[in-house]
Amino acid sequence: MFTTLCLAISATLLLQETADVGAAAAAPDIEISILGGKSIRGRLSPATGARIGLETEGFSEPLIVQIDALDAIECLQEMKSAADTRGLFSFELSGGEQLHGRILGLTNEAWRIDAIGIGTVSFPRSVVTHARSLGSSSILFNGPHGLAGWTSGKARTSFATRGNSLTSTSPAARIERDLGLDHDRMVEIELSWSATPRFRVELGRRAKKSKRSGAVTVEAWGESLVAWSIRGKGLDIVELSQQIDAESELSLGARVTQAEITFLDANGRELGTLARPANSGPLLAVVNDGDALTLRKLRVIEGLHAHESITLEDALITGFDADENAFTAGGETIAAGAVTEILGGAHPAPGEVPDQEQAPIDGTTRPQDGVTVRFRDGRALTGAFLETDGRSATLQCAWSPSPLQVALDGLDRIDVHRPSRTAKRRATARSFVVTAGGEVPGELESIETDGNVVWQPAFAEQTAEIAPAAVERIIVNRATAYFASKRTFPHYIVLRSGESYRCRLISIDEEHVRIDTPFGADRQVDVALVKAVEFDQSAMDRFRKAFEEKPKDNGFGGFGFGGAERARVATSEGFDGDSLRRALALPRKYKKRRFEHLVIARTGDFMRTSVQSWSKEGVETTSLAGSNRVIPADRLAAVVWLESAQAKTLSGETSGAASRQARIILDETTLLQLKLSRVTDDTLHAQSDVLGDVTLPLSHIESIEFKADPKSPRTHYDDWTLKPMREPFPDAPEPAPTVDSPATGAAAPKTSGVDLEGSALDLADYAGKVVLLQFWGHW
Amino acid sequence: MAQVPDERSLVESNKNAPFALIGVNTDGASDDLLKRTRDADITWRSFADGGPSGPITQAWGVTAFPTSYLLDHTGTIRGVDVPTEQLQGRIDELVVAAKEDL
Repeated sequence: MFTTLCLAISATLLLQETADVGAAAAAPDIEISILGGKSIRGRLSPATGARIGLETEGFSEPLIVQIDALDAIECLQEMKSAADTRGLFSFELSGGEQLHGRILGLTNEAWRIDAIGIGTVSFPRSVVTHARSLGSSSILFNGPHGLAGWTSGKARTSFATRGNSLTSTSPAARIERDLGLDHDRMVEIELSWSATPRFRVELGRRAKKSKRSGAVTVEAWGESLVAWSIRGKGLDIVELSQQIDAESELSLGARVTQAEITFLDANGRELGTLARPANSGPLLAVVNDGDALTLRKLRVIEGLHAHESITLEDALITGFDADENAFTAGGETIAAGAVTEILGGAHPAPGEVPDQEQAPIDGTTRPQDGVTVRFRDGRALTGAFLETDGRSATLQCAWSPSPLQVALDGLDRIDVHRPSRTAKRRATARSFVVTAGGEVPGELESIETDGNVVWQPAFAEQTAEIAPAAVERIIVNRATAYFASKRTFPHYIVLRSGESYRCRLISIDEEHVRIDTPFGADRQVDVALVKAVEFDQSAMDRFRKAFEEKPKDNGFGGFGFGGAERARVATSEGFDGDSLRRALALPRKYKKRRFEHLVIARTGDFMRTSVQSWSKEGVETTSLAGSNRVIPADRLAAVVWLESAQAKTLSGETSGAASRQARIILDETTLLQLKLSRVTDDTLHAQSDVLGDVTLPLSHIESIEFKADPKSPRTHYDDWTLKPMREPFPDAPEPAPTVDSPATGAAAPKTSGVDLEGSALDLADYAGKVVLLQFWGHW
Repeated sequence: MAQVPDERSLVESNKNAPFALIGVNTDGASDDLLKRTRDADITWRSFADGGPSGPITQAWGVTAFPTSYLLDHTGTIRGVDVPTEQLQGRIDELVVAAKEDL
């Protein structure tokens, strides 16, 4: 136990004014952690019963939240510690609670104090384990309780809250906090670890400075503790000669002034002093460089000077004279101001249930079922949560006959002890509404005609209305039903707007694509809106994957410049990126003809052509060479509508109230852009220009997005645009009429000419040898 | 062009056999054509056909590229566009026949 060293003050009474309960401070900004890992930010607002009110952005009314559905409530505001603590005592009770206040009276059975934030309160003497004078050394920070107020270079989750301490298992996890170390301070710190200790405590580092300057750092080096700082060009080191083991703990004190830092062990013995760097700041940082580290205790105390301490045993104190502000003990009168510690009578261990004499007044309310309210100055109260008015909370504590109204000024956090199992189940809902305040679990009740979303939060009793502007997305997360059968809708359409869904192709002509869709039969879509129709999704998935990785170096993908008469059935395994680029580059001599489609075969071959029509047999096309042919349906992977400079770019956006335009995602391949009419009875009603009226059960929907993604949906077809190609062969003759290629078994035609170096070359030269004759080009 | 590494290994594997890889180049005439070919590590000979509609290309009726013909030692066509993974096997068979005839 670390001993605080304080200055002796005179016996002059310092009258302490009662702290204003529920003073005109604004309701604190809080963040509530719901079971299931989500959190919502807002402002505390009044609620009756075991509930709190939460005003949160976007919701027209405060959410009324059952407290047993919560994990914890963290106060986000850094509030200054309330009153001057001179002349006050802190009382630690056997349940782990802590009160601060001025002693009003003492009887054989009970203390009576004027407690900060509460007012006059009495409690049995046997409940007090320890009392301590806050004296002139006021405790500025007594923690750590939770991560509120701490900042971190990395994600907050590198340190986690566990009960009253902060733990980390991530190497390089770091937290820091402004503890006002600019002035004379005493810092007590307690760390523990299990495994080779590797940690740093940095006193006085300014956040913005470069990594290691501006701090006095305490670090484990081997088996001992070392303090060091960088000053000027050198390194100052002092060994603190504290022995540290592989699984152990450390209690360390540091007396911080402007000029130097003196380290003290648990008994107050000085271990070493270092000069404080000139540019150091008010921060304290704890860094975990090893496997596991726990920050168990941290106190920052104003005032540092030594004095003789007077410790009293509670059992010996016979009375208290309020006028004199002095104790009577063992026949003597001792000024309260001179007493630093009072050791409690029964000394039950903290956390133990108080024994029979201190049984709770209300037999059904055990502190463990309630909450613990913790304040930044170290005060803590445990009890059943009765109600709140937004600025104070009413608790039923075990040791008090009547409920206490506790002001929430200086609140650090409220921990909920035993959340109910039903609340837990409800809170781990699969549906969420994502708003600016956080993610609220629950169920979508309806979407009104004015756009307001009516939401039933998982942990509240009433539904809540959210203005449309505040809703980012609704994660429905219930897409259990398979929304469209592959047999009925074997094809897949991709629109330029980014929408994509299953369909059955009925026909294609110059102006329209007709499809049957799961949302309605026989829809006619303007070709200007269509990007592609896919026939074999697994083939397209393969090509997409190959296209996103490097284009394969093997394979015979693509049709060459000479035009194509037959779809080559080759063993390509993916898109050959070079071939695709060539296919999209139309030689200028063909520019007058419209070859606005790209037909992709399941083998990976593709050709640019003009699709004339579609029938069950396949796609009828006109090729560059001028002939019509049918590409059988079972050979097709997709037909893509290429854009050219002349093509319209209708994005397919519907007009109308922008606030009701939403993207509906059914599954990873199905995305619709619809104008919502309403949601009722678990069914969504909406419209689109392409599909007309659409009715969708919520059970088919993954999520509803209101705020558009900053990146609009892209498909890999976006880069496919026709480009004119510079004629590589300006003197190339007109394509000659095709000669039937010789087939297997025929004799090779006479083949002679010159090679690339100009030397004579003749195929006949290679009689007697096996020859592979390869027609190729650099292009 | 993408098949050049396969062709190189084919040439290497068969350097001691009665086998030859001959190209028919269909690029238009240009000053750096030879250099580009050498830079691409194409060490075997190619006919310079002057373009994609040159005389040899037309004589063989080739309309799509690349296209390859596998000829036996008598100049008879034994395969058109034989897939890469089957090529060495087919060449081996034809080389055996070629050697028998010597």
